[in-house]
Amino acid sequence: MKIFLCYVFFILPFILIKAQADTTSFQNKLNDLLEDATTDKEGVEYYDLVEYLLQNKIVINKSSIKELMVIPNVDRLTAAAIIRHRNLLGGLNSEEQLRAIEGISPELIEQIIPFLIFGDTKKFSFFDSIQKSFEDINISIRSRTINDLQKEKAFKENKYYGSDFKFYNRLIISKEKTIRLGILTEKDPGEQSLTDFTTFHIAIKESGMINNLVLGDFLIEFGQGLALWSRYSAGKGIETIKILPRSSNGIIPYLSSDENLFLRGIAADFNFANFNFSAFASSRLLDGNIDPVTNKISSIKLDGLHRDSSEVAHKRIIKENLFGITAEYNFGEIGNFGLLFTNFSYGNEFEHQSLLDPAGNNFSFISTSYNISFNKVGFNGETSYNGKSFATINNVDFSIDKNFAVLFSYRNYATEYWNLHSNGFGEKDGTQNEIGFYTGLYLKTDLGSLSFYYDQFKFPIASDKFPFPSKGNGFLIYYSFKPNINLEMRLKYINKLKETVTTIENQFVLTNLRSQNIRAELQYKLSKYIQMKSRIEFVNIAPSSSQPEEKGFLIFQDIKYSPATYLAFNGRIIFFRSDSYNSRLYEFENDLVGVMTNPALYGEGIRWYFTARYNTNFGLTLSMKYSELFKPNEKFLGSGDSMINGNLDNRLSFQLDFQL
Amino acid sequence: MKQCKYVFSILLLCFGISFSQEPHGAKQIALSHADISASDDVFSIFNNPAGMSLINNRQIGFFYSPAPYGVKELSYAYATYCEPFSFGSLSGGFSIYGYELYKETNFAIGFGRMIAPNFYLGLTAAYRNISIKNYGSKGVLFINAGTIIKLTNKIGLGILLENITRSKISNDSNDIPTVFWFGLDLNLVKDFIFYTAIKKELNYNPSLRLGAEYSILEFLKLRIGAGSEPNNYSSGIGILYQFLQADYSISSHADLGVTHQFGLIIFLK
Repeated sequence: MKIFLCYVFFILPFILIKAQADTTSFQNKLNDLLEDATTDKEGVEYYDLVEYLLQNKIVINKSSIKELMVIPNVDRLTAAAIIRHRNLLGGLNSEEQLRAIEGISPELIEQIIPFLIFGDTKKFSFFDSIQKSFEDINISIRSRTINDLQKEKAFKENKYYGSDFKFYNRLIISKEKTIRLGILTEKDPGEQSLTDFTTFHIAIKESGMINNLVLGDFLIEFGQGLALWSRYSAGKGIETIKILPRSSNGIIPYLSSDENLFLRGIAADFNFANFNFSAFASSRLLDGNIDPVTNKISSIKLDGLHRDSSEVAHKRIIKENLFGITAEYNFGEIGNFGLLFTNFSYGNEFEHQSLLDPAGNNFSFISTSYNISFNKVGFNGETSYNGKSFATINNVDFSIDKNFAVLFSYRNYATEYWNLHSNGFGEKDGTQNEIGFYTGLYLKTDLGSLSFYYDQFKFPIASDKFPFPSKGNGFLIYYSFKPNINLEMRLKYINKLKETVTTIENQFVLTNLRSQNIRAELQYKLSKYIQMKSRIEFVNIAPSSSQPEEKGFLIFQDIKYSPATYLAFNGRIIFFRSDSYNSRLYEFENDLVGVMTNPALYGEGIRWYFTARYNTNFGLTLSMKYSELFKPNEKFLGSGDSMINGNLDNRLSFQLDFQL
Repeated sequence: MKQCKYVFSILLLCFGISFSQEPHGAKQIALSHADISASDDVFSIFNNPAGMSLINNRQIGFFYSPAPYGVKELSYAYATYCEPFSFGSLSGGFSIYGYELYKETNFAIGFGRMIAPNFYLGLTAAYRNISIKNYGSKGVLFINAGTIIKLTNKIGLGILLENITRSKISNDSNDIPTVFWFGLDLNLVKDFIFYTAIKKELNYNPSLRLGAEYSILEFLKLRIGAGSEPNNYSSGIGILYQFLQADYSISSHADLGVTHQFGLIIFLK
């Protein structure tokens, strides 16, 4: 196996040669989408999903409304407008014909063009494809190594089994739109084996009655994500209108480096008249902790790290079996209605320690979703039932025209509603223990565009230790203005008020915590080759209790220089200062293709990075990133096993992409 | 008197480093250094080196502050020269600061070039030598990098990174500060320019700078400015007469009081 992987990832690239598709435009779009993330987790799964959509473009002349809605930011009204325009012209054969559609903003048109194929394409059956030898086979290879140059304490003490390098290798072999094989291996720093994590799939599309068939690893998205969804979805941010309703992708072949929460087995769907049916079954082992006394699951471990004996002891010890079916009826332009039944069973029961914890080892969910549009109003939502309680989200969106839209959404996720594979919209993760009402607005005028949201939320239980409700609210105002084609100014203000549990004189009490964030940004294109971005950001954290107010500040300058189509450089320098981790700031970074970095910056310091990408004329793309964090007043960075001696933390990454 | 000198020596060590790091020139001080995006004279080598690329004739500049806040031991002086070429502008500069107990000298060379229409870049390499009586002297090389961008014909943007090499004279201290300057200038009304800048120096809170310049006559400019961290305000005038530009500024520091500066630029053919 290792010899095969060695061949695939290191020798094959030098034999197979072809130009690689440029992914810059979609990377920029992703950066915009993820700019508001307030977590330092890497949003790799979403990146991989969008990359999958780009690699599996939609043939616009054969697509349905539902198929078009899987493109990011395409809602039902937009998809219906495209279909109507296509039917009027008898087919869309060029981008210009798409740009002529009234009612869709030019920005959105440009965003969705990369996901589409224009004109007619010849359709091959699966067996035809096999017979046509290996013509038109696409092979995509990605190999990456990331190395932290400063040794962490655990590596100095030889606590981990493996080296401090991170390795990532991915191979995709696909033919037309009919068959795709994907395999990915990853080793985290400290892990011993290059194949510590391996994921794979074979996906077949449009073969006979079957629409999609996936053997191996996959994800299921249904409705609004209350019963089954992929790991990543856009949260509250500057896209105040487009975050809801979500457009489910149905069955998605999985090829990402998140080591948990995907499914492994078989999944298929097929169309019959206006119906779409799907079925799936999965069986896999999860990381976690099992109490040796009770033999019950005390926790599921999601970090995917297997670096020392303790972590290896918890590796893949919890068995999860999952199966389900979905049925969906499409009313054409009007909408659709869907039903889902799914069952999860685990090898051990869960320890039920608080109201928020699961109980038992068998969980069934019945869910319904709907999506109905009347003229300029859309009603959509999902309600899921787990045998004890409900989770529901219901949205109404008024897309008055391309310059004005309003969205309202109500959500109510019961305290007892626990689902490891859900990912509903909300203030916090978990689709559990939350009631909320969201209002979003978008207005575009000659003086710029304005986005606004106001979200109020309530948690029936404040925390595991505090069984009383807590509440909060937050709003965002975002204004962007383009005085000319090369210059864009952006202003964003977020205000959030939240009740949190704190300890005062050994008593748990609820106190208000107000956080405010102001960001001003300028993005300007200086020439065909140079683009710059400047940002200033302030954060203020004001607790109502006796704790002190905290402040944070960040300023950065970013430059992108692309002297030729095959060569691109990007650099950024950030100065930051915050009173503590509580008043931290985030800046979403450009990184190697397929890597998303959103570091939390706190304390006093400078961070800077530099990336370079070179596309050869024979299909090979080489890219690198060097990043450095410098905190002049610190003697150590990090803590525990990840502690670094000194005030400098730097990282060097290399990536090789190859496409045949 | 000797005791006074030692007191001033301590003051210099505590405050002096930050004084000497602030961009200098009577015009710049009158605007409270808010004009980082509009640096376009021979003092650009010390302010924003990108400004050198906006100079299209030879210039010699002198700046002298004889006794800041009434203390002649804090005096400092600059002399600079800029020569524009077809490939960019080259500058050289020299500054001296302090007195016999504590003396700081800087030698600098700079280069500025237009990269694209409305986009200018510049670099200054400076060698700083600090001499403390009875302790000896030590020098170090550091680099400043700047850019000026004309976003529109009415809005300019400037960025300056001081000491991007993070050079330091002693091992443990941040004695040559690493500083990020970001500034904008708005020329929305004829003859009136509004400047604003943010300065972020490592280990200090961000400092906001505001300034305005009004060309009351073709040869006479009035300037005013204010800044925070520390609180200060300033004003000044600039007089242009044939090949000479004379500038004067008066500035007030929240703790140290009022002081005066003088600058002279000679334009050569």
